[in-house]
Amino acid sequence: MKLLLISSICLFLFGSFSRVFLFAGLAAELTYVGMRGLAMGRLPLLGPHDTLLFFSASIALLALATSFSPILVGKRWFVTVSCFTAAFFALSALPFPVLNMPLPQILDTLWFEAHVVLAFFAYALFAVSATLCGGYLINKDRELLGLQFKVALIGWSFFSASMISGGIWGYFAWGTYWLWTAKELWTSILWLFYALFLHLRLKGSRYDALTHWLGILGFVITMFTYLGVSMLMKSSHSF
Amino acid sequence: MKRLWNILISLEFGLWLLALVCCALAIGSFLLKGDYAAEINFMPLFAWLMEVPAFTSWWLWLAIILLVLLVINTLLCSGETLRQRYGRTGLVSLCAPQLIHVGFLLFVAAHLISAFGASVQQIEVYEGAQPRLPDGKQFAVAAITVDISPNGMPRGFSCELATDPRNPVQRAVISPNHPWFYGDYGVYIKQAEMYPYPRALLEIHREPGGSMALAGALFFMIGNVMVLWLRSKNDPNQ
Repeated sequence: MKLLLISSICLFLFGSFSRVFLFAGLAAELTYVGMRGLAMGRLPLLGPHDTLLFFSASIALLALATSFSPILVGKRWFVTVSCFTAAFFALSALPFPVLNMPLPQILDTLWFEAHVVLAFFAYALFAVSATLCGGYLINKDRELLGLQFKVALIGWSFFSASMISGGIWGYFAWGTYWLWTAKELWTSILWLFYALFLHLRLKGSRYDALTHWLGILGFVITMFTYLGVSMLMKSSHSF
Repeated sequence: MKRLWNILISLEFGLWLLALVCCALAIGSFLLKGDYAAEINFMPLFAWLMEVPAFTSWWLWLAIILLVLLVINTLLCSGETLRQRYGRTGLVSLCAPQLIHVGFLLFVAAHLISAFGASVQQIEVYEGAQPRLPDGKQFAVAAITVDISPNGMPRGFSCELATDPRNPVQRAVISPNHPWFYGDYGVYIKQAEMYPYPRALLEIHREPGGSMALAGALFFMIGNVMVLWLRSKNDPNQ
């Protein structure tokens, strides 16, 4: 099965100039994820191997959807960067062991699955938004402004829905919708940061450059929330 | 006075507050460790704040002060927007961002209520035990079950409660993700063992901000969907 995963990484890396290869890489990755899911009878969302793969697939999927925007016609750099990002996270998943254990009873609920899936879609959209911000900073293409705002807004909406479903799950699982842990604090930081980012657009074009640097910083905060907290801090959310 | 008002209703002030709250919480995430970090989730937040030394909790005091200012800023900004734009724009575009703000304000209010009145109590029970909720309501533990896989690993556990000892037919089965709610309280099973005798660790939670947080979530999501709909209408090409 790992051959599927390796082929998807190869498609992302060596076909990064074309949307067709992005699609093919995504199809191979989703087949791998789907086969793992079928083998275990649940969504594969436990441990760094599965979550990094899911994150990679989310980036590929949402970048592919974004690439159909008329604004990105002829802008091959977007697909190239997205392919490399998806390949990087899929490659990062490879060294981690595959966890085939059944879902612990506390995680065996739709609220948990919704919480995690929505969070990764949000993270992926923040990655796409950061790519567009980088594109704007290099090319000074003002057409990208509206698109990156929409992508970040949809990402923030997914993230809000993830936090709400996480709160509902927490209420049924732990007895409270909120726990004071490092992960929850960084989740709140990420949510407040993107609220700031989206409001900054109301300040007008004088703040365009700052907004786009913040878009890139937002992805750094996203990565710290996802990986940094798990690796550097003690939290009930650690994988 | 006019200058203070202008600051309080300004977007710039709100943006600075958001940035500073982020900084305060980021610092807090590194300072929150040890015994104090273990205690914070087992007592009302304000009780914890009164108990711990200021050098441990200063970031949380700062975050609370900034959030109070952010709430004031949100209320005033929303009020000012409604006043200025009423009649000049469609009802949906006028209300959508304000619904998101209402959701945010309800989230803060929910945390405030929970910060005063939340409680957690742990009890170890065995079959036949008759514990009481903090309000005096008595219930009984009828059975404790642990599901063991063929290779000897525990797969899950549950506990059958007789929720009214005077009426033994009235039962509720609790397991992870499936608590029993009575009044303001929720009874959760955290752990169970069959040996040396069937016993379980229960937690009795009171989360008074829960329903307000849920109301906030509903307002927030309705406003959010409306904003997304408006944005998709504005630029169909994107």
